[in-house]
Amino acid sequence: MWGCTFAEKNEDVRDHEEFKADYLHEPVVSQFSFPLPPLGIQPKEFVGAHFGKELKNLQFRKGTTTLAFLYEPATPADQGGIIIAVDSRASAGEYISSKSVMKILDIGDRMVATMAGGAADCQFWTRVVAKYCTLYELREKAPITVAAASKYFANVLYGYKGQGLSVGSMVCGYDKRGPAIFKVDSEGDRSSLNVCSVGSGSLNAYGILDQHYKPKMTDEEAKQLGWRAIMHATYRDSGSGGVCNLVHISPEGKTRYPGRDVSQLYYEFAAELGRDIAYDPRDD
Amino acid sequence: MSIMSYNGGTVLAMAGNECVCIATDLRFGEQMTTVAVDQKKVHKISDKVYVGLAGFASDAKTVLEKINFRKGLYELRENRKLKPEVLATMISNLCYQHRFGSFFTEPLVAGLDPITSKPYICAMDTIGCIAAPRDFVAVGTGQEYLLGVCETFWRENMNADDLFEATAQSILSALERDAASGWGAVVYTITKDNVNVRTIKARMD
Repeated sequence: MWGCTFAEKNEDVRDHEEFKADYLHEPVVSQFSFPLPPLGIQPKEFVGAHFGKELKNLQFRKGTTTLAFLYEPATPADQGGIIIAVDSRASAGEYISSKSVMKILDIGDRMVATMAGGAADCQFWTRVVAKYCTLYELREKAPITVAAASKYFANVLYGYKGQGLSVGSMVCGYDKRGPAIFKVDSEGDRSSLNVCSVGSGSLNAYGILDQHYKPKMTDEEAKQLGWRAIMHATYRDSGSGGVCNLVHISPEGKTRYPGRDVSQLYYEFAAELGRDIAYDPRDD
Repeated sequence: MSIMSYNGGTVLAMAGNECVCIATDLRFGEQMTTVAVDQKKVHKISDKVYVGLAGFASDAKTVLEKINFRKGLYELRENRKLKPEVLATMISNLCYQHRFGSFFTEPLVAGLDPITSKPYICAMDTIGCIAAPRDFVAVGTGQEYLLGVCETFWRENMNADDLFEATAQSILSALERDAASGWGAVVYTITKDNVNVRTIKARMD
């Protein structure tokens, strides 16, 4: 389809059916071709042999905390919807390669995907999903559902299963069926969840989420929960840190909040609890 | 991950005019998880001699006990104060005795000569190869970041205040890029009159 122009065909003989066949078909799942290693070597083994099993320098991995949860408005003044909160650290082993990565990637007006695992894998395949969603909307004249977008994502990832992709993404959005979160990963899993966290700091984040999450919250409570869970995760997990980026998706639309320094959040939190965190050094 | 970065941690020493600074971070981790934030890796051996032990925390503790034992024995037998050079050689010998099954810790010695107040700093590898430059030394997971940044902060013949500033700024910069170290730092400023111990507020992520 690419590279083909209208001029190549005689306009007179073009009928409507032919046009439809050419341009109104379902986009194919993937038209990409990735050259594979020679001599039938498996991609995973090839990468492992050249970069080491750890893949340390090949891609940013491991270090991340991402979370998302659904909530209902507690009062009529609140909107409810989805909170998505993430950290901003990119690390390669113990080296912090970036302190300001945006790990919430846009898919549509009211849909985002979070990024955990290989940064390049996440960015590229999220872009592919975003393109699919745009084409879908143009073709169907209606926005795609979160379920459909995440299923396309999962199918693409399943197609590359065993080839060494590393993706742990949450596709979150608001569609005609309401708010939804789908966790998708490079193993091919896809699951619909109300409260979800992915990454090396996810267990720490779950600790806070499970303690404080309520199905009904005010918008302010929900945002505070997002910030707090990420802050605690970055405190315990050396792979996560930087700033906390937060997005709120409501029936009205998507709101991005400016990044909040997690270290600053920690000191504020300690002050709020009246906890003495000053270390008193002993000369011994 | 290697055993040298299992627990994480960084120690830095800088030399000035009749003064030395030795700084440590406070993190104690187990791989990616931070377990404690009050683990200093610098220890007092005598009045003006300090040793920093980065690397595997369990071995660092064992080595510290062995150092204190040998230092006690030395002072009793020789009946004189320990010079930092002597301590460094002592630790080097201790490390090399374990040449074929070494402790996974890199020791660092910083101090002033008890008589002349001449500054002395040195670092060594796990089997005791001493490197004693006149400007600065660093060991631990943040070593590479530190050596780079110290190169710009260090000046000839700094006084105690300037030396403290340079050391504190250097270690804070390194902690920004090293995930295995951080969560606060402590800087010891050793001058011929006193030892000043200060905690530095650092990022908590």
